[in-house]
Amino acid sequence: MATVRTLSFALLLTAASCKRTPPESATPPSTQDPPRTNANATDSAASNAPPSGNDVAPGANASEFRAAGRVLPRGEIAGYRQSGSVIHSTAQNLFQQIDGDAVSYQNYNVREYAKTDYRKPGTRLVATVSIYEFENALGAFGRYSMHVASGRDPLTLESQAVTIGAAGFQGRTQLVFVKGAFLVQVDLADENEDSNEAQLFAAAREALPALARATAQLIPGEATLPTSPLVTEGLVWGGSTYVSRSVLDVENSGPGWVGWYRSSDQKRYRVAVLTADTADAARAIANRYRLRGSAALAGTTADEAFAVTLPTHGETVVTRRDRTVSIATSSGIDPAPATLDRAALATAAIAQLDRAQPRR
Amino acid sequence: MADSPRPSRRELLTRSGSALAVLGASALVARRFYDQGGWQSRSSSGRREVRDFRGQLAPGPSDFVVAHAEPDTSTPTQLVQRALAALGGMQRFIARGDRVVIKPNIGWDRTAIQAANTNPELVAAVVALVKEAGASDVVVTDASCNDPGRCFQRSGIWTRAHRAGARVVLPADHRFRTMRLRGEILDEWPVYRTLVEADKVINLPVAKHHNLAKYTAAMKNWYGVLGGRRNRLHQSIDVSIADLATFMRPTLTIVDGIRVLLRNGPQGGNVDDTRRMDTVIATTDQVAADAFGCTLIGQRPENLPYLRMAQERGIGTADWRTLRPREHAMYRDGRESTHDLAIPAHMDPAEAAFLIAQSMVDAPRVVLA
Repeated sequence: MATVRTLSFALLLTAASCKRTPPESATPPSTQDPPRTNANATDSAASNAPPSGNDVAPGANASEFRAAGRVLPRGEIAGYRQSGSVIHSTAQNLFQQIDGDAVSYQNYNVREYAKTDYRKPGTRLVATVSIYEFENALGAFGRYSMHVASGRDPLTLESQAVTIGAAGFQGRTQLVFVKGAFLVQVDLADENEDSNEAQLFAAAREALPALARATAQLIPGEATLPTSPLVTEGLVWGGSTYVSRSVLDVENSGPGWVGWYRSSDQKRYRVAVLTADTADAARAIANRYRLRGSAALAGTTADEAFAVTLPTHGETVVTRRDRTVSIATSSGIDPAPATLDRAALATAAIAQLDRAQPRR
Repeated sequence: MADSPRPSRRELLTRSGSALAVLGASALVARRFYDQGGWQSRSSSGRREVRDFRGQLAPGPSDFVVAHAEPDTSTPTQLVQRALAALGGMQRFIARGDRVVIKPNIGWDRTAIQAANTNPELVAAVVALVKEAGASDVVVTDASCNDPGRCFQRSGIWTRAHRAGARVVLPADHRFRTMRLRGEILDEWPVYRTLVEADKVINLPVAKHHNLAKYTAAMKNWYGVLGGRRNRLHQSIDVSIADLATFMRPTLTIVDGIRVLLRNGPQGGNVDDTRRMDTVIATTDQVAADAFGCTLIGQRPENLPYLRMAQERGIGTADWRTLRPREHAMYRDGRESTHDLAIPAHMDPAEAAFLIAQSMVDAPRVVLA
């Protein structure tokens, strides 16, 4: 009898564990809960009609303006009323908000993220202010500079420069600025499906700076940029950039500054400067750029100097003095404008060394 | 009441031993027969789990079409209609009575002009084509990155797709279940059931720049199949993209290149980072879609490791020239032309794709990497 009971129990156990349809996961989806309008969605088409959505939702509670959200403007700014909740994220969860872009912020030591909407009553215009708070001002500036120079010549944004925060630019639907440890992005969109682009751009010209200034006022501290080691002569607008890793696309290079330059004869080039803790560490960095075919350059004031052709940058001159590596290369602009020859690249690299690591 | 004698020590040990043996055997049986792929599994490729929605395709004139137009000469609806016609018509892919799921990119709380999501008019046009082909049920959905309510509404897809007759389904906890995908990165993961419970699945991504993966469209669009915490995926993004494309084999892939985000992707936001390209790519091969599509932003297939991985896994081919490619071109003077794309064998396919992709846009501002 006991054996029968045991066998029955075992059979039940086996049947249960062989269940063909495992239970639905308790793991929450990456997304937040859907709005109540669809929480009980059924299979009828009528049930999933979109909400009308042009109402200004009540503003967030005061308690929501915390962490990075503490610098979000409250109430009404330039006719735009804060609407709905404040969305928050820590650095670790940022990928749940901005997907693969999170890595590019984490590389600069982002700490907190917050965003909220501002709606203009009677329209479907909606502005979104996104706040990224970094561990320090260098991180915020570095990510900002990536925004400026990513895939374009930063000089092309000169006409979009704004005097908000320490640095910023305003496009047709977006304003980005940096102040202290905060990087702020303000976007304007029109949810009206028949929206007129010209009207949207006109509305953005007024709304974006107003919201940005209101935010900048809430950010404590001075509107100054981190100190850059770059040579200033010839540096173009927006051309001072701080790269968290892979300077000039060379992996494990460590962080460094990259300057975008224009010579007196309108040639374009860039100079990178990386500083290590010791001369040996700097030597190791320089060696990361020493590819097959590199050629030593004699007659310079550097401790070492060589020319090399980098896969995506072309002819490049790498120099090192003590703990500092200075690299001069092509413009990084497509289509490529005229750039310096090898001798001029070497001169530019040495000039950068002289500024960052003066001769003993 | 009869006495129930207590079992002897020997009997107790024997019973315990028997119970343990049976339990052990049942565990082995359970392990052997447990449905590791989940329900409704259609096929399996090696050790990896596959959701193959391709079925037996009727023969058609082409398996790869790029439809594009000179500026201000077309609508997204016209472009996708022409692309599908050149491919042999939607009825080649959708049978009467099919339950069809359309998977646009609705990941972002962005509007159409910001080009982070699939163009809403394009989504509506595909819904209409699928319904015309006789589908009994058309669902439009995605597991958004931002809040789904905001994404579905702000993208314009909710309104347009609903108006075109689709059921628009927003993701919710109860629509996910854990499945064993058996990928290199993606082993066991919450999967969005709505996207895999269908007869046919149409992949409808938007082509755009991606800060981490360089370029994304067709294969990366399957991130919208997943719930859970995505940070692990981004640590090896190329492998996870290849894993997902291994898992999801769509009936058809239609890439939205109407307005393309050229930088600061995937979320974008600045209309100045976008460019009108008035292009639609329709194909049976998601790998080919990305190999060609990446040239829209000046990328080369060889710079995208996930394409190599996908090809090595037999998911598709990066050489779109082998798919009997056709082009549909719409010109300012009203002319339209559908023709085969004959690419010389010695020509670099990326160079050829780039020339084709950029041929209809004004003042080229993109250079092939």
